Amino acid sequence: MNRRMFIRTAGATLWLPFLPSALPREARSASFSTPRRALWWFIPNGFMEEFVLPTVIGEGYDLRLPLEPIAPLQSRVSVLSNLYNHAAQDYYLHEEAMGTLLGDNYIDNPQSGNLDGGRTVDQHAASSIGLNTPFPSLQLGTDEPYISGGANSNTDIYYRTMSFASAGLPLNALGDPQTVFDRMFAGADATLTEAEITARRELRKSLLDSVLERTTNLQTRLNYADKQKLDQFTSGIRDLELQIDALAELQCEAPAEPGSSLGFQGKVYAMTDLMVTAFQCDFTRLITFMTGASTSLTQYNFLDGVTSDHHNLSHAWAGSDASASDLKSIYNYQVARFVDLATKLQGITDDQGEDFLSSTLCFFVSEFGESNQHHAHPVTYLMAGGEAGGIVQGKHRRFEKDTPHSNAWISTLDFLGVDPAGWGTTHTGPLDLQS
Amino acid sequence: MSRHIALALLAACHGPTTNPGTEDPTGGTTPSEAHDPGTRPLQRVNATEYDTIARDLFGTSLRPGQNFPADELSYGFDNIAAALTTSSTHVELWEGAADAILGELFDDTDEETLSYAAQVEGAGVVYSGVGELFDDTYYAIYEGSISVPFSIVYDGDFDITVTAFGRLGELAYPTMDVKIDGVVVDSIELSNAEAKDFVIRADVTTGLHIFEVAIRDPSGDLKRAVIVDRMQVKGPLDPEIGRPAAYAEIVPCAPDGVPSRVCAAEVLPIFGRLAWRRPLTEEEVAWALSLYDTADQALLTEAECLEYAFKGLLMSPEFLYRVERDPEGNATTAVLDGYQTATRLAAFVWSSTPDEALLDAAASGELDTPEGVEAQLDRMMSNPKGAALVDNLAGQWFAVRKLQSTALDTVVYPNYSPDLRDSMATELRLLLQGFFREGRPLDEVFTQQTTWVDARLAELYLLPFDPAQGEWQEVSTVGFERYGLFGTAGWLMAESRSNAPSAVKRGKWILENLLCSAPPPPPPNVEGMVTIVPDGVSVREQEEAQRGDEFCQTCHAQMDPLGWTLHGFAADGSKRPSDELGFPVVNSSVWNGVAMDGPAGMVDAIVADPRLSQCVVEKTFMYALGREVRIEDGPMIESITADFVDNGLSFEALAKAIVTSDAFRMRGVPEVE
Repeated sequence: MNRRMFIRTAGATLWLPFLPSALPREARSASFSTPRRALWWFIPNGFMEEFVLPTVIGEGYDLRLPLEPIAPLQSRVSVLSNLYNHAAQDYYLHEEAMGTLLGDNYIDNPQSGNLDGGRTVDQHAASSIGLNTPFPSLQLGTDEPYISGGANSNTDIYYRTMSFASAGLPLNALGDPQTVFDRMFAGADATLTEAEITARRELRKSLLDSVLERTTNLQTRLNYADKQKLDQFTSGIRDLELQIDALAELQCEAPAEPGSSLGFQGKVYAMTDLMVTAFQCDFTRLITFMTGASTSLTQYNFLDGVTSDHHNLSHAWAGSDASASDLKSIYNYQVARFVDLATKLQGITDDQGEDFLSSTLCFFVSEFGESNQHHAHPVTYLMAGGEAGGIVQGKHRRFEKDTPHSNAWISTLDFLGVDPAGWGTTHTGPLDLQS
Repeated sequence: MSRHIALALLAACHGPTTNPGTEDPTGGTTPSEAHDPGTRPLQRVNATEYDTIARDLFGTSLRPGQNFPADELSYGFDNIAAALTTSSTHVELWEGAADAILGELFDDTDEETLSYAAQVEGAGVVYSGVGELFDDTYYAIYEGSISVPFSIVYDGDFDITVTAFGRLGELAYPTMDVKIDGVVVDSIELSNAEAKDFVIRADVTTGLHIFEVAIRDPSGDLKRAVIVDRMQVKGPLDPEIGRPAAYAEIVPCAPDGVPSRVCAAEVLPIFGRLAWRRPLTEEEVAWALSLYDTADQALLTEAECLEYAFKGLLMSPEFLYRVERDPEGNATTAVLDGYQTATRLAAFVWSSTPDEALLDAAASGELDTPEGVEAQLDRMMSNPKGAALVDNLAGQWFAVRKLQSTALDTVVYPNYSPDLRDSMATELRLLLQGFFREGRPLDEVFTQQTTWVDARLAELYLLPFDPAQGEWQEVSTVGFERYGLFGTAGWLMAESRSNAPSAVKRGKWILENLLCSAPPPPPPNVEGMVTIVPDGVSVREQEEAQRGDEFCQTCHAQMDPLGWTLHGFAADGSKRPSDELGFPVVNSSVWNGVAMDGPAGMVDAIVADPRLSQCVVEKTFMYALGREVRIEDGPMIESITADFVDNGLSFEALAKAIVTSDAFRMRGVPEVE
């Protein structure tokens, strides 16, 4: 049975050459000459200082095995060490460290199940600069298995995403590259004329308008709790209408389709390419990518000698040198993939002649530092690019004890030109990344 | 650790824990008085339900829900209304799903059998591993594979033809694996020295797929090789001509594919009733027709106009959520009308939408009486769609879904394979089906000494298996210490680590899922602290020593003894005489003062535990209602439990008691905020 999608005709699929200077939306972006972007690459189950910390501070930092893939790009990648997740400080649960990874509300009683880290930094930024792009932000993942909170838990939402639109409103990642591709490029019908495409787009919006009007009407007859649920729906309809228009204005060449049914490695590659495309075409400026959910059970059996699952190794290293070695191999693989993404961003240039990496601040983060005992401090992050915002790369930056991890997100908001007012509770100001 | 957490842990774990539902201070109910039915917010249709509904309404094999953002899980279930949220991504993908489903329904293009072929050295062919060109037109694979992507236009059964031969290595002929998207569809030993066509039949879906030929078990010798000439993929072998069958059923007034406005006016109320699970008002029919007119004014074809109106119905909250209207005035509770009852029944039993018969029962008032609801429940449970109870209720509760996203360490368990895991999942489903679908009493889930095996499981269990008796056979496990659920490799594996069984995980699962007495999460700095080292003491002794102090024992004394009784089962569910370090397994323990000797003793203790029946009621209640169990539900839970126990602990009795309860048949309205 074939899939025909003729009512849905977005304009983003004309297969025209990519012309950044022709993007009409540029005029609407903030005060920067080129758009600024940010990306968070998530490695689950901890990123341990003990395995990665360079002994050299500043430039020319030494690369231990897990960080070796940085070498070819070292001048554009930094290590941020000794950061402290204050929001999660009392109680080291996976889900608590997740809610506060990009969120910054102090969690005073994790036992209550209220692990509300608040609106996450990517979503705070999405609410302003996200309005410039068809997708205010993207949440990507791999759908790898993980250990669910279980039958007694109502905190499962914190495992699967690092992006929250607001307290209790998780934005779960899409794990199928083809679905992500279709969101950007679906709907082309080569047989239609320009006028027909426009007419059909108007029809598509007209239907959404009509549904919106009926829903708003229905809401007046519902109780408060039901109405709130439908508020999420109506705001989704409005976002879709904006997206249809924004996609119509955007002309960008579609890359090859990634296909479905990819394995873990294939998904990481495909998502990497989609992230580059999404930035290059200006589909979005904010991305979080979960290579696995927190407690991920990914089997890295394609790495030499690794046979156990990731979560198991994140604990087993403490009692087994072989497991420690496997965990380091996993880090090495993840860092290599992150560096691959940064390298691809370095390989494309914008209309100002700058490469995309310099206008994109990329972070490599995990919910924990030490993984056997679930320490949310100290945590070690990697950071790449962003030089267009004055960020100086190529350094191991070791921060003073107790420096909030969320200070890195204040720096990110500064980089993006987004006012941090109203976001977070434990940060104390931006990190010094510009000297 | 701070003191308040320690106290909380102690409080949570002392003795048999009490459930919220048993703490009802009044200690009983007056039958004549209606119970407070509780409230739940508008329930979003979850991804699994979306696909099931699409299947039931349109007969489609599309499963768009599989790629929706993952549904929020709460208390182990993905249908808890309060937890389910809607993001903009949902709305966007719902629109894409409606377009895809309706596109298929109205599609009138004739499929044709197409052929996709690639020659070695052709465009797009990818070589990986070790190999070389051979005899100009061939490629010899020593290690790894060659592959080619094809974009399949129409799905269906395909013939994959690989032209290949094998070259003998030092020891053996090579075996060729033919894969689609990395999954082996067939393995063939190549004992032919001349090229020949091998034809493999496979089901292929529309879209881009990687077709791959690989050598199995490369030996490293540069002689043994799979030598390939070309690959051809041809299909679908049975192309569909014309519109899908569902079209004629849904749009009977326009078999020619040109539905007039009159035809649309006829069809929309009928289809709308199925999609919205209730009759549409005149105003709503007019709205749907206005969509037809809007499309008409934009000069779309008649079929496109009707498709557009259908899309409006599928993008409406009445389709995407289960809307229940509040009572008029100041009333805080209301009895559901027949359609709302039908909607709840279809969600509970079928994970779907009501069919014609159920909607008719709603219209006739049949669902306004407990007898009428019971009659429909009987019909629904015996319908094949009742399998949703096994897939979704039991599947989430009894770790079947969890198993399917678990894998074992192949160094420790070299015989483990995804195929073996699939067999385990099938066994688990067949076993659970006994209780959830076939009227067998609850106890048997845990006590029965028969199980279902295929050749793989029989080998794992060391049970006799006669291939002549069919792929799956029910066999006795007497003498093998395999009792029901706790003897299934699937459950044992799902509650293990990837390289070793875990008494804690298994014990914790039993407490949480069968006794509803979950321990709190481990305190700070504790998780993962137990490290097992080969130092002359058994695994069990090491674990017990490390959790020996009074504080840890508060919770572990509840969990671990249950798990230790299953210590003789490895992570893959096979029997083992000794633990990971080679020490003899000791599988007896003491739990709440009761001595348990191995699995049999534990099963006796669980079946005798008064918490079991009530816990099974609570879990089913939660799933059926799509809300958590509150303290106020105590009297209802007690009364349902009594019905369940009095009726031989059959699921049928449990389901009847739930669907006729006030919680199911009434709706509470939350306090005004």
